[in-house]
Amino acid sequence: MRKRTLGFVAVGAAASLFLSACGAATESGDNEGGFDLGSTEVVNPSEEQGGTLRYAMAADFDSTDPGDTYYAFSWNFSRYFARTLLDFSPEPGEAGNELVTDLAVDLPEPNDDFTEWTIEIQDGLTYEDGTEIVAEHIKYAIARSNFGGGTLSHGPDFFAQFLDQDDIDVYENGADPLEGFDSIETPDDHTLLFHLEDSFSEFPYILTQLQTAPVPPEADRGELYSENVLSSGPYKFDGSYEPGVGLNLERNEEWDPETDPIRPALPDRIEVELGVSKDEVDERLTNGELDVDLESNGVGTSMYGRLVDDESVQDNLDNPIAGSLRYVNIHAPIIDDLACRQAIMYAADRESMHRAWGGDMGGDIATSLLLPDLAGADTDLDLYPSEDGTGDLEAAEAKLEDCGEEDGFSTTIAVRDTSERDIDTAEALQESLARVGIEVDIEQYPAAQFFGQYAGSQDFVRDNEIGLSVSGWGADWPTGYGFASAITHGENIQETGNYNTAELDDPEINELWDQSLTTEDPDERADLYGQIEKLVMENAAILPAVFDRSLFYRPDDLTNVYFHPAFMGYDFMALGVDRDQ
Amino acid sequence: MLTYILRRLGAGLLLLAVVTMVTFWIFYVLPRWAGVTPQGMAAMYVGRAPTPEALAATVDRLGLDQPVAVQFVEFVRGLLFGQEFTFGRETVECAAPCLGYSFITNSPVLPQILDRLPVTMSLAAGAAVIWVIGGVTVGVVSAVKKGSVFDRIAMSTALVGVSMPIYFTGLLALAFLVHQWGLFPVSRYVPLTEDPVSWFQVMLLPWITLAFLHAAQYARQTRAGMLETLNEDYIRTARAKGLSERKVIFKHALRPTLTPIVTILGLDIGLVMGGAILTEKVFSLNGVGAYAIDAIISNDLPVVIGVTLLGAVFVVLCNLVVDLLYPIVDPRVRINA
Amino acid sequence: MASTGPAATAPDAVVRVDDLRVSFPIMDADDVHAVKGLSFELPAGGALGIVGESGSGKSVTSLALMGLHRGSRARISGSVEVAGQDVNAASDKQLRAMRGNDIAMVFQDPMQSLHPQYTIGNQLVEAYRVHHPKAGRATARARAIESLERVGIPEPAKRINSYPHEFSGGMRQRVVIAMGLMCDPKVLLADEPTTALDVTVQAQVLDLLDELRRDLGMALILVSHDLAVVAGSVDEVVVMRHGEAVERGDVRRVLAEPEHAYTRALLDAVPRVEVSRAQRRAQDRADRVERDKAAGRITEPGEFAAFTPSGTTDGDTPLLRVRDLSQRFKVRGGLWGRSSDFWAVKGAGFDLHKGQTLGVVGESGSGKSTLSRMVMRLLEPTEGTVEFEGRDITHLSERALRPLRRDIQMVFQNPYSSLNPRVTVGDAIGTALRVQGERNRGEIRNQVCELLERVGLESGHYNRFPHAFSGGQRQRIAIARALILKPKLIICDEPVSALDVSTQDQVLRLLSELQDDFGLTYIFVAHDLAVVRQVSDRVAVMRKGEIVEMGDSDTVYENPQSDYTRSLLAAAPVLDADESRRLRAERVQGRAQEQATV
Repeated sequence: MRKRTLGFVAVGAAASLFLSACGAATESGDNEGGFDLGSTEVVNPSEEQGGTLRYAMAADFDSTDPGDTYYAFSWNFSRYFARTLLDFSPEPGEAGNELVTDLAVDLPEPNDDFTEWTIEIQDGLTYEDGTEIVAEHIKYAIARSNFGGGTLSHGPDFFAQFLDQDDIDVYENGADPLEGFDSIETPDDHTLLFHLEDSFSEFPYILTQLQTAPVPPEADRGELYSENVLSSGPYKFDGSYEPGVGLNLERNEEWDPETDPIRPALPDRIEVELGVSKDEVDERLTNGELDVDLESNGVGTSMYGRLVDDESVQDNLDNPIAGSLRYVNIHAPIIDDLACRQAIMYAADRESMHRAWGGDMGGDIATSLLLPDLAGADTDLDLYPSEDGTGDLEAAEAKLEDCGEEDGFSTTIAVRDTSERDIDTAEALQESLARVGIEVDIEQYPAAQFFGQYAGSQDFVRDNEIGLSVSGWGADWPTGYGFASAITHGENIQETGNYNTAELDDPEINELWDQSLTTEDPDERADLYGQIEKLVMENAAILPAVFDRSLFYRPDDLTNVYFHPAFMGYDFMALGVDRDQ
Repeated sequence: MLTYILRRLGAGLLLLAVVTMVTFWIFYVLPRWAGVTPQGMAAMYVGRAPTPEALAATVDRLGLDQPVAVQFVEFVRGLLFGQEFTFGRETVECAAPCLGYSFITNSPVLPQILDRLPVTMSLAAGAAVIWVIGGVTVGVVSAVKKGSVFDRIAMSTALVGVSMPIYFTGLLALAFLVHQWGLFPVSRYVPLTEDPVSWFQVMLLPWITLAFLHAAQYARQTRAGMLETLNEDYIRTARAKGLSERKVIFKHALRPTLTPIVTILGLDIGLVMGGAILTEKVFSLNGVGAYAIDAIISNDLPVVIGVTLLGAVFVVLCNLVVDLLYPIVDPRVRINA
Repeated sequence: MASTGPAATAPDAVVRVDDLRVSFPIMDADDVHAVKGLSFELPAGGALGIVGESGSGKSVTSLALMGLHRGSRARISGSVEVAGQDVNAASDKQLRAMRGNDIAMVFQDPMQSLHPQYTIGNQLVEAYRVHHPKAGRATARARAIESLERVGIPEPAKRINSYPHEFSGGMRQRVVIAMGLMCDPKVLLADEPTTALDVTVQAQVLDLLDELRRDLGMALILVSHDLAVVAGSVDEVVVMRHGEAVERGDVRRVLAEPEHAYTRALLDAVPRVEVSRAQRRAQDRADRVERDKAAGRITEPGEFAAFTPSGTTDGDTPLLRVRDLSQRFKVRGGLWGRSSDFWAVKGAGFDLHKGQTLGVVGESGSGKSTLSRMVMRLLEPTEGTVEFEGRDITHLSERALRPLRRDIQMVFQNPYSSLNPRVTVGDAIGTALRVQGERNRGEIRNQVCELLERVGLESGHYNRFPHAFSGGQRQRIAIARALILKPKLIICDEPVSALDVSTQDQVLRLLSELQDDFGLTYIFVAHDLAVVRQVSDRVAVMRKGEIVEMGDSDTVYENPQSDYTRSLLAAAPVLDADESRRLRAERVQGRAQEQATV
């Protein structure tokens, strides 16, 4: 659910609407601002150290434990005190999509069939208490977060999926917590060797995960570790993390900038205030009383309205592609005839769905599956074209005839009750489908259990004949596979918590996904993803609506600001403040 | 007297037991009746994809598959005798009265509440002082100058005051007094013990806003009570003695007027102590109320039950204090043990 | 009216009122003239009574003497002079200096006139220090103790720290008087000082006022609705009606040879304890025949046959038979919450035959109301039996009692609170019929209207609300409500004690006529000895839950057997100044003897 509402890991380079080919940010020099400049360039570049960087947000961390978090903002932020094996390049635009090293010396080396990966970490790295960081700590960190018997339940479970590992529970193991955990080998203190169950060409992306941040077994306190995380980064906890209240970070003197290619660590101190209402956050942000909205999902609706029409603040606004696709699942088991599904694709009025999602600042009309900046994406792909994007009713009626429902049919669309835009989108679709006789009932369900019990529960969908559901999706890592396999690979259909909600299970698509895992050349993989995209659209399982955008306010005294697509927000590691305090 | 207090506390405990049971029933039993399975409940506490394995682990970890009665007994036992919790390899002793650990943040509920209590108490105490002084003063002046321009303005303002929700007045105050005109500082809560001046500055606006709502009510109440009291025979007696009007009003009329207000005040303070949810939210104060509402939204059951219990404790205590104070304020009332 | 004109000004007058007029402006209506040209004066050390029924302007006058109309809307003209100070012209400050110092006031209701939240000491000290700002707290306190002692509060040094609620009504009135004495005022103004008190306490308070006046040389103004109350305490009396003094003169002369018709009517209306039931009844019947004749109508007893109680009882079986009736209440108290028993009524027993009236007389707390409630079965007796028409109803269930409810009806004391203000008079009376199953609305209306006329109201009153009626009229409505079901027994609990003398007389007459017409049986509960005597065939005197004396009313009154009955009779105010003084002397002597023997 978090994944869908907030997104987490982003997708490739944030090619902006206006400047997709702009290249590296360094060229732009000392920019002072401009509308959406932060999407493509570093605004207010600075190397000035000092000051206090102030964050606030309405919500809370899912956890401050790097091994137990899934929010994009939380990943972004946790890097202040948690260094991972690999990371994304600290640059705006497409370049941010590149993998770079953090703790590691170099990118990992695979074996021939991509089932074994070897990586080496730097020498002389230490925690905040001066003890040395060794390879086994990283191994342990991965084990505790993926093989801890559900103790840490908030984070992703990629390692559990990909490692060639029997199920163990490090917290139930006796004296040696890592007993039986042999899918990762640490032949020496600086080397890690990963054994995967199957070939996986994109495994390096997994090594950017926060779960690769080292945790010494002695320091691990299970769920309570989040109170005070042992820092490996430039900052450490100043006092405990207080849930719902706040978190303060101070400099970690043990951190060696020479070993760190990612973090300039400009501010002296970082403060986070939690539980500040969204309106108040926006108010403070625009008044210079706050530097960053930690939540990184753009300004709230009331501030949005004020900013959009205010000429004087346009230079402080960024409007990047926020990193997710908003779409409608067409459930194959309920609407089982392909022609009927295609009729929906034709009849949909994309123009009105776009308006429902907030128009131009809310996002770009989507007619294809893959996020625009993923390799292999073809945003021009439009298999169900119509004039002005308002729907091709004749083609739709023809398709209805094909599937034997000349007079249309009726079905139900499921939508999360807390998302106004989801509901508006469903209403827009309802109206456009009614034009060809397809009657749609809108049913709202609790957002928190939407995938657990409602739209993502096979039984519920069948019992209630839910033919459609409004959804949104971001990428786990910025490739076609990292984005779309979870929602289109037949293997990923689950009884509950089902994100392949359309239950698309096409042998050809499944085969292509599997093939990509053993394909070494990224360009070849991109080609495969392009093919998959086309097939998914032909299958009429997913009705894309928009690639959404957020509206960010960029305060004047924030330095080194740019939108990092991988973290779906400003790159927190780069930020500094230009203030005398 | 002591017996009376003990007996009242006993009744209070009984009330708390009932509150606990009802809260438990609402949050644990009702969902089951509504067809929510233990897995369904666990889905609220699983962060990532709620795969069946993750759900099962969470159900097991939180004990959601046990019969509600067992969970209730466990909870009560923790409350009375403390309980042990296991986190990773660590076992943590949660001493009685143990309210358990949050399902969401895994932090112990009682210390979390106690951490937030100073914020809420600061809010309640400061606001109460303002609303009592303000409300009573306005009420007295209005009653004495009944029908005057002041009276009319004050009473229409009071009418507006009681009917305006905090999220309206509060947001208005924030937008103009803080952000637009900068009359009040933007700052987070500072404990009184750390920096009394900043504490005062930060709390002033929330106090005024919360007090405005209540003061209106107190002003109306005081005015009505005062007018009634001024008609009493003993006021005539006081005047017949040759007392000055000031003495008549402030010595003879004010005290009986305030007597019923003490009762209302006790209840109000008890309620605010349980968490002035809207005020805390609007002013981003991390008090008990904000904690409560966040817990309710995220279905953090131990926290919900904890804050509910605490709220009940405050209402019980404040009522007891009022009842004990009452004979002092009004000698006619005797405590009937 | 000759005597009401301004009399020759006495040089030593301490209070002088000349052509006093007080009016209250009312929105959208003519002003209410509460006092219309009143004049009188009071010599130093003298005693003046002001008598009048409600609305006569007597209380407005007493407030005017204190200047207590300041700040209200009252418009005052004429002059009021107290101790040489013109009250109407005085500044607020002068006025305050006068109040409590030159003229002190004792109010009607001692329960209300002391501040409940301050100790009496506090209030007494305050009264002193406001006029003696230089006096120390200790001086004021000593003075307060002295003053309390003077009015007969036992252990004043201890009691000074008590709160008003810790005193009985009579003691409280003494405290109020003591407060008045704090600054040695020249005039003591007592406005209905004994109205809320029991007979014996009333006598004590009046005795005290009289004694204080003589001992301290204060002038006394005694305001009352009851001529008998002032009879023995004042030299001169002013009778007021509708804001005017209709008669003024020496108290003996006014009582003996009233000049004004109103005074005569008033005197006639006062129930006299020496008048027997038979005399009164004969008088009432004669008056009735005369009245009917004048109205050209002949009323035969029993004409309203429809209302004659249904069913008959055998001559021998009393309608009501009460034996050893007791009622216990649990009183919670004490540290450990143990409750103690309190017997409100103990071992009461009597027979009551059809068509008779049993008077129950006693002071507050004597258990007379509890007794009537048990008979009514509003309370379930703890012990003893109640038989109604030979049937034991002592422990009948509420359900089984229901048919009986129509046979026993009650009329309560307060005609203001016993009628629901939101129900029309017609509905209030007719409801009982509906409850008993009468469906025909027209029939109900007819019966109610008939009854309204019978109790002296008009059928046109059917649709009015209670607030449109005076106290006496309301009591008539209450009586009609009790009558509608043709009951066999009516229990009247202090039915006339809240009414003015003349109204009281009319209601008593009505009850008597109804008894003639319908053969009603009454239990008449009251504290007023004279009233009880005049309506009762038999009288029970109650004290502390027990019947101390019971018998034929004339016997009880003329030849009382119990000391208590005798003391009650001695305390009853009489309409004769000399007789009153004689009784007072007896009482004083009696008390002195009592003290001597202790």
